[in-house]
Amino acid sequence: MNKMRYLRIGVATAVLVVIFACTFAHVPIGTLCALCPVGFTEVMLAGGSIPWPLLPGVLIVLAVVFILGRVFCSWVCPTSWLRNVFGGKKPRGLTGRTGVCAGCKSACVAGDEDPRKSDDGSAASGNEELNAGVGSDADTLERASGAPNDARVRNNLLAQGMVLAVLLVVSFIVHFPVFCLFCPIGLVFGTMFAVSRMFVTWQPGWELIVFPAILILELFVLRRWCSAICPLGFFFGLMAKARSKIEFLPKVRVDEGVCIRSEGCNVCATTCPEDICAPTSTRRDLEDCTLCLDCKEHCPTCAIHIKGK
Amino acid sequence: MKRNTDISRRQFCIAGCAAAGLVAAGALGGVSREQAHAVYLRPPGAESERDLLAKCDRCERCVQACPYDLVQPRPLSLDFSTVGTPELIYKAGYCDFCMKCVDVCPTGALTADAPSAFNIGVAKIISDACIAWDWGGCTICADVCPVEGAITLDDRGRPHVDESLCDGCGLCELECPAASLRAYNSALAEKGIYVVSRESEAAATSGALTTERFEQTRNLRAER
Repeated sequence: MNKMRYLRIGVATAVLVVIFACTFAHVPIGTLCALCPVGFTEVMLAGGSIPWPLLPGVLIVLAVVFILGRVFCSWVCPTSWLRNVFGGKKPRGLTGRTGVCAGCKSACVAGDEDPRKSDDGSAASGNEELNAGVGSDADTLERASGAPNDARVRNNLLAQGMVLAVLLVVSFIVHFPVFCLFCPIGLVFGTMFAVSRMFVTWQPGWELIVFPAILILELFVLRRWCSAICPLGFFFGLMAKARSKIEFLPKVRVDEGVCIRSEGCNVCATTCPEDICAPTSTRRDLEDCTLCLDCKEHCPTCAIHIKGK
Repeated sequence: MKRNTDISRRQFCIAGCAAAGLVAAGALGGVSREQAHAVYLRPPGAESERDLLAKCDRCERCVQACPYDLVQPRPLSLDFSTVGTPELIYKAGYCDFCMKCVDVCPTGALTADAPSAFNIGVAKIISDACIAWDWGGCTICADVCPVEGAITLDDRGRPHVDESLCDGCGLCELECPAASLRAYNSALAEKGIYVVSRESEAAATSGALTTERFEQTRNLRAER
């Protein structure tokens, strides 16, 4: 059970362990901050010059997201790692849901799991939510009517873009990359480096308490951090939007002949951390897919494959 | 078209609050920077305190690259906008200008052509903590100093730093035995000699400093 979740925890832990080990081995691979598109633009505006050496790493990350989808979010991001480790048994995704299928709430009690109670009433309001994001009109047309996906909370590209715009303006005015102070990814590494610093100075700093406290606030109180605030998600969302139009890139595909949704199966939707019901998903829904592979693992008929067309 | 903006409005509220938080933090950080006038001893290659802070994205590559564990991320302090940016701590070694931190910096915060690339800071004698100044007999800083003439002893055996020659490598600070040669006194600095940023008020003060004066001016930007 939850094989993929443990695998994801394992991959993200491995990334953190490698970076931590490199600190002691003096191998300058840098933290994930050295690959950050937000950091790149912030530094560019705050410092007034283009940090060219950052660019290759940033472009590689964006290229990986373009080709594989938002794999960073579920497999590498320390934020998801924290949510997977400390978030309880239910999957937590970009929208911070806690294992409730928004659209099929009434129908999805059946299953091998304990009946999932709806403790996220707002997300499961059952109404159509029309994201104010770009290109939503075209998506409405191709969306299957009455599908569980209509009730999903979606990654809000516009909200993320707004945060990005504000942080870039603030960074430009105050001449330092201001989001780096709050970025949960940076805070995870900040805590990590505070520990490694302690081994040199033998003076524990306040950040050992303050950073985890901010992290808890951001990830477990502001549950919508990833979908409504994360400016990194804005870049990844743009990539996901672009790749969703390209058919041969790997995506979640459902073998219609094998899928038993018509018999009431909702397993993929109830396991998906993003609430996506795979058989009825549109391109727009699959933009939020982080390729966590939970649906593929749990599908009772193995109808889900990750492949290009 | 059915349009229920409830959820996306909530997301917008969250994003709006986050944006407001960023503005507030930026303003607070900017103001605290202006009021603190703080400078820290930075790794070689920092153009200036202001420039480093603008360009550093806290990727910590310089911290990982330093073979002697000198480069450490700044801890959280009231000057919170500097947290995670690199500073030099001469507790585990001294700088031999290997330039590994400069080579790996991806953001241009540390560059080889900055004036500080071969001139990290300047050593300041702490007159009441230094054994030679306070009592006499100790010559260790002058003995170990790799720059000829940077630390000289006067006719009373007290060390003086030639500020034009000192490059701030930190070997004197590392080797200073003051704390182990003296009974513990919390009012005195641990070492008799410290390297400070050339932008600091302490560096602008000529001659030796008392512990009190040193602690006041060590991280204070010099008025120029």
